[in-house]
Amino acid sequence: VNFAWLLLLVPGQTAAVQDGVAAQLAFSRGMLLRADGRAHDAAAAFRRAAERLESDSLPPSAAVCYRAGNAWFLAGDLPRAIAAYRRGLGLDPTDVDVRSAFAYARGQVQYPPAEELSRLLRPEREFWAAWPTLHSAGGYAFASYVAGCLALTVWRMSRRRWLLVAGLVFLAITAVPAVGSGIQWRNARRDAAEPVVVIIRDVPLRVGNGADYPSKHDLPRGCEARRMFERGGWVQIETGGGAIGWVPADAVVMSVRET
Amino acid sequence: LVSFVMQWITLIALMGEPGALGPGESPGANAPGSPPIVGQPVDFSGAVGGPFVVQWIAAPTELTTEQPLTLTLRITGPGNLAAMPRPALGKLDSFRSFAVEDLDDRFVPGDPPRREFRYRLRPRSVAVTEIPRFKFVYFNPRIAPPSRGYQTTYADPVALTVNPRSSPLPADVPAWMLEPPTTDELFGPPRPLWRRGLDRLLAVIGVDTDELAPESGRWFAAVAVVIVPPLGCVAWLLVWRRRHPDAARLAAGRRSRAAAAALRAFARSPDAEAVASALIEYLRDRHGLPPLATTPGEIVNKLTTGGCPAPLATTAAELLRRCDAVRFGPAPATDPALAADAAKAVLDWEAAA
Repeated sequence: VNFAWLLLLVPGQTAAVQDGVAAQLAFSRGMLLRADGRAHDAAAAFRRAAERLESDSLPPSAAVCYRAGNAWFLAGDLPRAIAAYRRGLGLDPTDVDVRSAFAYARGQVQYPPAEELSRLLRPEREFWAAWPTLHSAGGYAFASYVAGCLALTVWRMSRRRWLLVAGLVFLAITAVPAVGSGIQWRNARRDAAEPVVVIIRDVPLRVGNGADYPSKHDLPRGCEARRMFERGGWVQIETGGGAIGWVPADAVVMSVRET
Repeated sequence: LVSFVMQWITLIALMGEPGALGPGESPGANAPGSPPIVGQPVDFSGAVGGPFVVQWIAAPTELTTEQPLTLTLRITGPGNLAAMPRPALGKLDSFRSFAVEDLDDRFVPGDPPRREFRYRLRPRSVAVTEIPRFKFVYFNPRIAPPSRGYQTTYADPVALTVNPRSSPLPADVPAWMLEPPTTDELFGPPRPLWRRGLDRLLAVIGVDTDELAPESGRWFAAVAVVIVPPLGCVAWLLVWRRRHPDAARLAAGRRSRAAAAALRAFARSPDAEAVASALIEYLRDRHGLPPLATTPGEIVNKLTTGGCPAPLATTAAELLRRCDAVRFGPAPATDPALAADAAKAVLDWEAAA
């Protein structure tokens, strides 16, 4: 009933409201169809919901990307779900829901069983946890910074050694989220220069930008890689393990919104 | 003349039946001629001989998007089939809706012989309805003149049913994934009443609060957050020094490691032996007193010859004499001010330094 009322109000609203409500309606319809066992129709409804959620009119947020990723996943489009979750983490790296959904979706990708080959194709490992950044722990970092400055000042007055140690410890604690933010900033710059793409179908990674070039590896659907160049309808990519090759441009989906 | 006419009739009869073979002539033994360059079609397959029959064999024909199917191109007929190159389906415009991957091929000798090329195709969308017709151009050397020997035949299209990928089974989907998007998630939480009122008031004077994003002030705030605490601490330190000069002097005295050690020793143990030991240690570390100088007289001499100011040497000797008086006097004695005087002397020396 609520959705019906919303539907009546939608035509007079902004594009954002129209897209948002349409996404909610499509998602609900997908749930009903899914419950009825009509998998194909449900997938189509979820796909419509995901497309609406990814429309430009809605303000970008990690929560919207999370819901879009869920809708893509339910529509059976694992690569676009991974791309949506990844986009959400770009907006808020500390969002626990997005991070767990991203890990779940990544776990569904069927990498080759050979360990060495799997390591070559799997995404890059993150060596810094998401939480120790100024974005998430800025208040604590500032408190620690102030405490460190005060401790060093009092040490300067009294020359008591424990104050020096305490001041340095506080500054070291402050440095942890600062370093985390630096790494995050560097990753964001790298993502802007070499955005991550997701392979949308099983496709061979070729040596050159053409179907005549020999294949190096078979990339599974959902595999993540960095886009390096694009030429003649082909994209040069680098996998997390460092394998470089070319795939057709229509075989990948971007994990960042292209402007 | 009759013989010449009969030869022409025979030749014309042969040209009228391009695929016919002579008695006892096997299809494999059909010796192909080289195709002429002039008039050669751009899509010439390289096959010489014929006539050829071309057909598709596809399995499965009902599938979902991106699901692979195996497609076999079978070419049957006499000619150089064993030597002909593989047709590049991936380069054909009609196959753009498929992802094409080459598989193996084989030549089957027989009557007639045949060649089979296998491909793996993946339909990219549900819009794909068929495997398109395939145009096969070959050269038949029996047709004269040779420029007319290029022949074309087609493999009929094969109907396909491509369904969208099905969604995962319910058991495979976690419960949190089935929660619908909420209004707050899509549009943000509703603004409080005071904020809406403020927005309206500002809108009257032409200010859009949504455009007052903190982006412009973010760098300023970040720099302020980094600079303000140490600046405040430096200001506090300067004020403290002005208000407490003695304490400042004490702190400055502690800057010297030797002085700090001596002051700690004086504070820890005020008895005469410890004070004397700490004082001599300080003089050795800070003012270069040689290790052999132990008596007050020797200390005065060595410090004076070592370039130390005379008041320092005199004060040090006086303090050491007081220590000796307490330690080695005939009757047990105490000097409660000894440690404090030693500390004061050390601080004076440090301040003078």
